[in-house]
Amino acid sequence: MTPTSETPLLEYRDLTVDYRTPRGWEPAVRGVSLSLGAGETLGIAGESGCGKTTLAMAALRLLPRDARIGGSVLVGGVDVTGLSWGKLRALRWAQASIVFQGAMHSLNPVRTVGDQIAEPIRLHSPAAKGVPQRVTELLAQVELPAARTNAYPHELSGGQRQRVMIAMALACDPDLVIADEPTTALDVVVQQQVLDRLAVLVAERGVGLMMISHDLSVLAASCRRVVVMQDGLVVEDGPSDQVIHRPQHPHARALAAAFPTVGDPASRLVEHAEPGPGPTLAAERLTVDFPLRGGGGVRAVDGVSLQVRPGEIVALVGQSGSGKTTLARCLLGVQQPTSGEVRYGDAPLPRSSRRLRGYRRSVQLVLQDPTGALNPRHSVYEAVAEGPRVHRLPGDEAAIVAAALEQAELRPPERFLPVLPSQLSGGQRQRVVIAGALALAPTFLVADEPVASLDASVRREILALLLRLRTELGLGALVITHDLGLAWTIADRVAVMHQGRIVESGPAEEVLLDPQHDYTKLLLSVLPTNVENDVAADPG
Amino acid sequence: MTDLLPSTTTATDLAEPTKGRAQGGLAFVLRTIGGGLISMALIVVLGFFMFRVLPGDPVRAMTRDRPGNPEQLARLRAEFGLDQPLPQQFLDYLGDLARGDLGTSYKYSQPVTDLILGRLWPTVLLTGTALVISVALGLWLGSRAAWRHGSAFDRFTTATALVLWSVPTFWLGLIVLMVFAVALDLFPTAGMTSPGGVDGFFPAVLDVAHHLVLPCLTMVAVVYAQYLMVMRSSLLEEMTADYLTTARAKGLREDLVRRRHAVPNALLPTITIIFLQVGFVVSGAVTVETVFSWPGLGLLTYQALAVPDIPLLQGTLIALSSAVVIMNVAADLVYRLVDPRVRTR
Repeated sequence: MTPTSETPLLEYRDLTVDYRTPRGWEPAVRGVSLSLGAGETLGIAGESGCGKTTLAMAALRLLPRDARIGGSVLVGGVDVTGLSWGKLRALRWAQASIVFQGAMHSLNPVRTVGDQIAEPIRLHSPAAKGVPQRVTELLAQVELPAARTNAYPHELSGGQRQRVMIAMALACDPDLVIADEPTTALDVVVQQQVLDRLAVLVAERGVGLMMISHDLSVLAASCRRVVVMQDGLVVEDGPSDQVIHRPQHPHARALAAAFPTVGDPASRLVEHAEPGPGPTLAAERLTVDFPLRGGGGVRAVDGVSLQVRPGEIVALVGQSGSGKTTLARCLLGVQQPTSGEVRYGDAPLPRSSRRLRGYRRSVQLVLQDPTGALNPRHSVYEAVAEGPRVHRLPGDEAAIVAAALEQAELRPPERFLPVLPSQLSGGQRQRVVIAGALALAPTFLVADEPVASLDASVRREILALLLRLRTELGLGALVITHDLGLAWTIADRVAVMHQGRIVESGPAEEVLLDPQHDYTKLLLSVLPTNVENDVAADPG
Repeated sequence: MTDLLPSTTTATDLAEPTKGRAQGGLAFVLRTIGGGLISMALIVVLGFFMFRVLPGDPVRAMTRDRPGNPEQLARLRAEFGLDQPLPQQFLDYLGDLARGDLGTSYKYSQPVTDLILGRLWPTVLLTGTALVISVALGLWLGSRAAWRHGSAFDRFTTATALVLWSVPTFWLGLIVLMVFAVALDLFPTAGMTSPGGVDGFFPAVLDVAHHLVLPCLTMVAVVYAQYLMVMRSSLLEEMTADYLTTARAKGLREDLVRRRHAVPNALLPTITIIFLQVGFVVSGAVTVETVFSWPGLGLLTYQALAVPDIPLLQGTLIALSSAVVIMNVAADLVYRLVDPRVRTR
């Protein structure tokens, strides 16, 4: 069982995986051969549905029962596809472990993290002594204090939970760690910490790392070799530097281009435009305090003034916890500020919910995750028609819905009307959400991470749509994001928020290319690939 | 308010504190108990007025068999305080209640408090046994059925439970009585003890257990389905949870994945239902106790209804409703204890 130096830790030999669906067998992986040796790092990039997660699950045979596997998967020289359940269970986690994506859901919410880290140790070596000390050690390796042993997952931040997952993955000293989108839900600063931690552990222990991500820049920062997958096939394979900078396959080029480099003129989609006529949305010296249990309070928003002029796209950038969502809630009139006011045009925001209704028609919200924002049992028609119904818009409802779908580029609208969200792709779902907002003919959109849950190639389309709506309808937008690349792509102006204050704001070029505040500089420095590195690595 | 920002927004973004969050643990306990006390007070008030608007003169009903002269009736009225104006009666009722005095039964001419206390333990024995069995059975079958969702086992247990649940309790009780007690003569037909009594402690316990079997069986058959269905649907929702994949990847056996990870999470919504239903099961004992002549609170209520014995009905109403309220309070407290997310929020 012990792999020698020649035996690869993980080897896929012409692996195929099909899933049984009502329409027959759908291929997810169509003949992939890869191998990973001790101490090596391999990145797998691709969009959702390309088969990359299936590949990870196949390594420990965690695929659902309706999956059909062909070819072979060798872990430490042993073919797991033919292993008995007992031997398979003994191999799982002890030889290869997985850092799952979305650590919020991958940890059991009702058990302490210490308990969950200890579980595989007790399972695989029942005679083990000093398990609590081992758990403390593991937590220390991911830089969490020993006191966190007794914490429940919901008491930790996203970054801390992901580090718990890493500690858990290392619990049984595996030779191979598979990380499936380990940093996707995290903001840049935390992402950097988690990636650093993984890199250090891989180097110190000589384990093999297979990292899966839709974000090429993350893979470039942590893997030597990167493969790009599309439709269950490997379409590009090579040293990460080459795959990022000189991709051969068109799909690899599209992926590389989808993550904009701040400072690269090619990735800046927005054209300079003068503010149009119409009211301005403004926050004036806005402060929001939240009372804390046991007295005292937390100042989530601290004296913030911010203006969004008509037809202007402003990016509000900051880490999670910086107060950007609270600020957005104030602008939408769902959160009462402690002091200061929100002004729309010349008038302050009304306080009564009846008069707020008219205002909410003018300022619409687009949420991050279209899957969660849409009721799975409502057809596209219902989803889009709900707003006009609530606001009792005059005119033909069907015509309003059709026009909104048209504006959101869901063409022809008739084809989409009876469809349920589950039958749409992620990008189409987000278009439905946007159409729902457009149906009310708003003057502003407040978009909370509008593309964070979308695939790289779809992101660009949605952003292009927002820009086109601005040109055609004069629609202004406040885009809330932690992604500086997104701000670079789409925003006229950028406001950087840190600990409840706006520390820097101005035209996008000024703020992102010539940052004045230390915090902006920090945010720019932790981007997995920033422009200086690119220039140094690739003078051409 | 929240219609614009549904709870599906990213956890990190909405993890920011919002106004009006729960206070510390002690405050929560006090608030929950306070809420329970308010419900109790409403029951007390309702219990009084509900029975005053009932048609029929209780004194006349009492003396139905031996018609008395008007003086005797007036004396009886005075004895039960029925000649006082309504507000005065209400004040007396409250005062007596504070001293633990629920009045005197018309029918038995005994203090209602004594009657209820005397009948309490047979009801607790019957419903308690039936509940423990049906909760255990329902949760066990429900979790097995969900785990093998769509299998023959799942379809069979679900269908059986639903059929039994939809059967009227008295009808099932009568069938059970006719089959097992009359036709097969395996169990006694009525009561809690054999007439004449049994000597010795253990024979007495066995005698009660023997009498307990049929009413308990009837109650379990009717009640366990709801626990099964709640557990099944709750576990089905957890079946696709990511942390189960994590548990499998760790190398846990399916059995352990279910017991250690899936069931503890699926139990959470079930707890509220269990406690809520406990209260109703206690009042549901009325039918079963009547069919099997089980000398409990349910039978007492049934007999009091026939008179109508107002003080006794008031007493049993308060006792049975209190059971519901107490169980509700207990559910809130237990839920907070078992779900770490509620505890620290």
